Amino acid sequence: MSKFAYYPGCSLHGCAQQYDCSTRLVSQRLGIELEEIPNWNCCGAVTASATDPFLEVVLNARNLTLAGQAGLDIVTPCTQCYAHLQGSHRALTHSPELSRRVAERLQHNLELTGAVRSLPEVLSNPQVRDKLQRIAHKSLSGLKIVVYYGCAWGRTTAASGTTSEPKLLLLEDLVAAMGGEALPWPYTTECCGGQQAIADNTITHLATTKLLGMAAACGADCIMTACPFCQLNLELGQLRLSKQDSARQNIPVLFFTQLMGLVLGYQAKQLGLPKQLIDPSSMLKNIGL
Amino acid sequence: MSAVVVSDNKLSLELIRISGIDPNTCYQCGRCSGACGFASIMQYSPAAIMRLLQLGKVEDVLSSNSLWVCTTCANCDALCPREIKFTGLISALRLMAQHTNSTHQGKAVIAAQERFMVSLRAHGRVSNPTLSAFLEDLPLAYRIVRKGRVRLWPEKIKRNQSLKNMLTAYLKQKEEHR
Repeated sequence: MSKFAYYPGCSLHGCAQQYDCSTRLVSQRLGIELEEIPNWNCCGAVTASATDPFLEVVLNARNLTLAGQAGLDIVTPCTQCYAHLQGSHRALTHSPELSRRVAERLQHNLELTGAVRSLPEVLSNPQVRDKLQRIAHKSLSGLKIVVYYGCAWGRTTAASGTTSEPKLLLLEDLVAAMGGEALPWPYTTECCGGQQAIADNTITHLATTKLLGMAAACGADCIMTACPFCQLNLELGQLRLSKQDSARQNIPVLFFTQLMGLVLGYQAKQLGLPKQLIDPSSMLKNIGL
Repeated sequence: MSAVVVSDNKLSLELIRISGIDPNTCYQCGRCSGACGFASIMQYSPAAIMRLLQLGKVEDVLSSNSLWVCTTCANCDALCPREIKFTGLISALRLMAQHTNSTHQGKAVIAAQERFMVSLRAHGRVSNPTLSAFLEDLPLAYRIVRKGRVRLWPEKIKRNQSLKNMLTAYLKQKEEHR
């Protein structure tokens, strides 16, 4: 059994609680032990990172040290948190001068964790995938899915070289292992504007309208995602579009761990499905889930 | 060989110093603008920004909304044939513009950052309502709250006194250095 220091991030305790509960259930079932980092602080995504890169590193140095002290690698479901934790980890390991300044600021020695991993990498690992295939009692057969990583994951894994080629097929392989169909589409890592949800809805609206239009054109029944910002944005985008066109067909947006949970036999409520803003029940009913 | 004017004004040099990036390696192929999902609502597209920087017109860029519309998605970085990290320039430009910008998006980002710092100092974490622009739409906000999708009040981490002290001292120093 592998064990990780679990960093949920603020969103998983807020707008993406479904991602948190489904991650915990699925990980445990697949033999991955998650020990939540005690008293972790915000990673500075979206905010500190916009105008204060040094502060972002300081905030993450604290989290990285908490995990390092426990002797565990970090795994985080949120791709934004992954980008900031991983980015800070790289910056600190590459620059003794930066480490010194940060340690001075925090007034304690840094004891960095060995590695920062994203949840998609950990749960799509071939051994984990094999176990999933062996123990799953249900299937996503008949479901056409577009896999949407969002922009943060792709650029972070590319920069840190933490996955081997082909980098961007991890979740697609997982979909296949669950019996579903991962549709090829051009926007798998195209930005949803999520970072700007704090500033200006025009920005997110522009991006989500484009993404949703393409997902529909490709014939998607479902959008599968790994980022709390993307997931909320794609749901909100559809609610806004529905206001202008009430006859609109909305596409459910689910976290990949929720779909994994469904094939493992967990109930909708356990996986936070009632919290979805776009109701997935008829989509699931159509495939017998 | 110098095919472009090498700008040596104060702001240009400061930008190169902060970012570590020399805009003069850009040959204006325009891939960055093509790849940018948000160029249509920017005052200056990424390629236009590179040209302005090459011409030493840093102030024009600093006062534009482009810096604040950018989501740092890094499509531009990924496609640049000269491997220019455009998002690194954006980051540096934001640092230079944070106290002087007057654009709508810029003000919104700075205001959100201030709310974030309040929450971070008090609790160590943030809740999405303190950040999101969706609150402007009350019926939508209500639906989201009804579904239990927001934690209206951030959780507070325990034993965060050292974090609090660190942030207080840090912000004080920042203010003094302005």
